[in-house]
Amino acid sequence: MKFRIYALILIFLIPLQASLSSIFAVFGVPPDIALAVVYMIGLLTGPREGAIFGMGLGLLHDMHAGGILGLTGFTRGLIGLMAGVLGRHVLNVASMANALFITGFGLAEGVIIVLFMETYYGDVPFNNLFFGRLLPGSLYAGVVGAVIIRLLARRHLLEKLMRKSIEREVV
Amino acid sequence: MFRFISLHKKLFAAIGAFIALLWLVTAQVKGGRMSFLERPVLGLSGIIERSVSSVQKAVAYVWNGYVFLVRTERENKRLREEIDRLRLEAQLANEVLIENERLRSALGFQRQTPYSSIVVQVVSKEVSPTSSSFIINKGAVHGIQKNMAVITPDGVVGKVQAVLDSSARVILLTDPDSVIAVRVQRNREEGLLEGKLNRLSLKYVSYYADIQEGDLLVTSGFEGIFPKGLPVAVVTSVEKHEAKPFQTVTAKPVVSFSRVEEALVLKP
Repeated sequence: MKFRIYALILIFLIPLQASLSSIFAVFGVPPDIALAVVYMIGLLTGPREGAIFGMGLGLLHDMHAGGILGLTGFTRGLIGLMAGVLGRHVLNVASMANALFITGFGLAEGVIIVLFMETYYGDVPFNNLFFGRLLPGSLYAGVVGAVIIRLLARRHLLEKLMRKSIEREVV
Repeated sequence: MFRFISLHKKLFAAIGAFIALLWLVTAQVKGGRMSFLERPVLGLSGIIERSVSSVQKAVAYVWNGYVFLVRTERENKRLREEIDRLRLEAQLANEVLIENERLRSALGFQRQTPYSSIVVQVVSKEVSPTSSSFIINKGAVHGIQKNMAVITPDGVVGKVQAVLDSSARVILLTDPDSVIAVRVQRNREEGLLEGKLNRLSLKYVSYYADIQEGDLLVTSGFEGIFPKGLPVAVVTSVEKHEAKPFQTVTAKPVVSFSRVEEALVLKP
């Protein structure tokens, strides 16, 4: 069942995000739903699953956007891994602090990518990118992600998912 | 050893995948971007994107065409198309005027080769820190080929990067892989305009060249993809350092990519 859900997310998320980005964009900045989803899956299922899911989704993103193949796969894998580690150490999964973590992860990912691009292409406008794209995009993703987590938590879905994943690890 | 690996196989799989991705990325630093599994991914996502786009358009059509004012919407659409066409004609005419003035005395001036165009709709936009691209709703069966120019009435958008049967990916001017030959409309100074993710950088402009903020950069037509004289970008800053032979010139595209819904693909 879980594998099917992952497959559906992997197939539909990137094209849906790209198609609907202009509708949900605020001042031209679309929300990075994929970042929020990787964070959520990492948080709920643990570091290994989060890392593998993040890598898969990031790779698909690279293939879809025509960027450097594997770069987003690598960074999203790291986000899934970090979110997984975080998920094992927090008491309240539905906390609004998730917005801060998603924003932080988004910014860290952006900075890694921009530094890589600077080495790769040179002369990348760091300040312009950071304040014009990375910061607003990450903040937006943080808010959207935290709201989604909050909505899911209302139905006690998060606790069930997390309990299952921890039970599986213990067994 | 084997027992340890089999006990932690998921962990090793994750570490192995990270190493493989790092290798993949560094391989592209040396050998240029790869397009592994691009066609199936674009093909599948193209189906979803076109479906979403159709639903969006149907909702917009019902809302704008029936729920809202029917006649006003139609008239508005016609007028907007007319304005777009006239703006494009005016830009091209302006360029021709400057050219004519400069070459008034020359004989045997060749007219620009006329381009035919295909109207396309943008079905999705991908703006990531590593790339900027659009997916359009037409592909090889509609006559679209790799490296064709994509423009709007405002100016240049980018060029076709990958083509499938009924969709294609367009890389925008701001993509780091985009390089386009341009000249300053005012004084014909030439340079290469490179994408820098959020802005553009005009390369190889001599220290002594007269470039000013607000200058309009137009296509020079040298690379054979874009016709001559199409507006590309506006210069936003110019820096000169005595120790460097070239100026540091940055520019922003004339086209607001977030607002592009339709575009023209030029067939040479």
